[in-house]
Amino acid sequence: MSAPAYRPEPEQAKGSATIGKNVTITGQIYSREDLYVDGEVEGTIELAENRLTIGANGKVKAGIHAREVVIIGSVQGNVEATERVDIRKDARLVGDIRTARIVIEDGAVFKGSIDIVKAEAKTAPPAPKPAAVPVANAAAAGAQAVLSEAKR
Amino acid sequence: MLKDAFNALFGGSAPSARPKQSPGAKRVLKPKLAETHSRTSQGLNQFFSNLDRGDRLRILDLSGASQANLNFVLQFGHHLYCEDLAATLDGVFESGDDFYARQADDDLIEQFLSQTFANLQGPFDGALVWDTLQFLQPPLLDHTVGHLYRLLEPGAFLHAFFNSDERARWLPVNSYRIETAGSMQVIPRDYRPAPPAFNSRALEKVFSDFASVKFFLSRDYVRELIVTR
Repeated sequence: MSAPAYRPEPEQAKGSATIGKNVTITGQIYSREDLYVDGEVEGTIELAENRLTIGANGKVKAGIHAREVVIIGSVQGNVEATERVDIRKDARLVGDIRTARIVIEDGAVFKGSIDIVKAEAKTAPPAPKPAAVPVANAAAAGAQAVLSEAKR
Repeated sequence: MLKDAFNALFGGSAPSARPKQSPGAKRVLKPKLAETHSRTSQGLNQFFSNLDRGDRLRILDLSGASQANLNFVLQFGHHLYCEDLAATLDGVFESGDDFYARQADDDLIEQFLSQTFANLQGPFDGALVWDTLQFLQPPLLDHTVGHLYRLLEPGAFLHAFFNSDERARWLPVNSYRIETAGSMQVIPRDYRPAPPAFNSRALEKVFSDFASVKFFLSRDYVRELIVTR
């Protein structure tokens, strides 16, 4: 009898870090690769040059800063995306959006303000910040991982 | 009756199904939902004409977020705030038989006002309120209009519309999508028992704190308003 094959969510890009649906993180997340959140996050999420996807099971209570943000689950907090915010059907976002481009599907719930800003010109990447909370591929981790608020 | 049949068949924009309204009367079934359709709107046209005074204005849209409305408002460089008044209304007071009776409950009124207005940070230069106010009973209506008054900048404009058919028994609950400055797409979602229709005088009283109220009457039993703060 073989173990059930791991099947990524349709939105889950290959090669991105994943916070699985049974994972809870409290603290600050910095990532220099794409991130898929299907668990719970409370704090802040920063992916300055990358794409953040909040999966259908994702519940995020955090300020978000990323290049691109796709919301399928639930977010409470302000969202800043240098390129684009994509709010899918059945998603829920309560917070203010600041982005260059926004797509919102019918059926999505959004409460907050939208500020459209021109896309920033590409500049040299900023000096890397020290990783406050390591984000490992936690999709397989069934246990609840509560990481301390490492940086206050 | 003929009008009802016409609406059921062709999705006409007239909002009413109209058996008489009395508590002991035999329950009348909800009419069939009309098709999605477009309607021209003098009020909407006036609203956007009034706002034609620069960009970076702060606009409040109480119809919930939709791509069409976002695109339309944001193309002028305005700042948009979205809130779904109808969804909050349904969520708090539920859309059953007690929908209007529950609006007298002080705790629920407080809950509704908190959910709707707690996170809204004015002042706004314009508010698109659409037709939800017609489903509010006093004192909920007065509280809601009071909050809108406080959120709007002096000189700001508010666009809303109300059923004007006094014989209507049911009113459609619609979603609205802006097509052009003077037209909108109407997407019927449900029907709700019609409260008594507001006449012009009653509406002037509702908005008595505002500087002026301008009416636009249409053939489809809709009374549109442009209210100036």
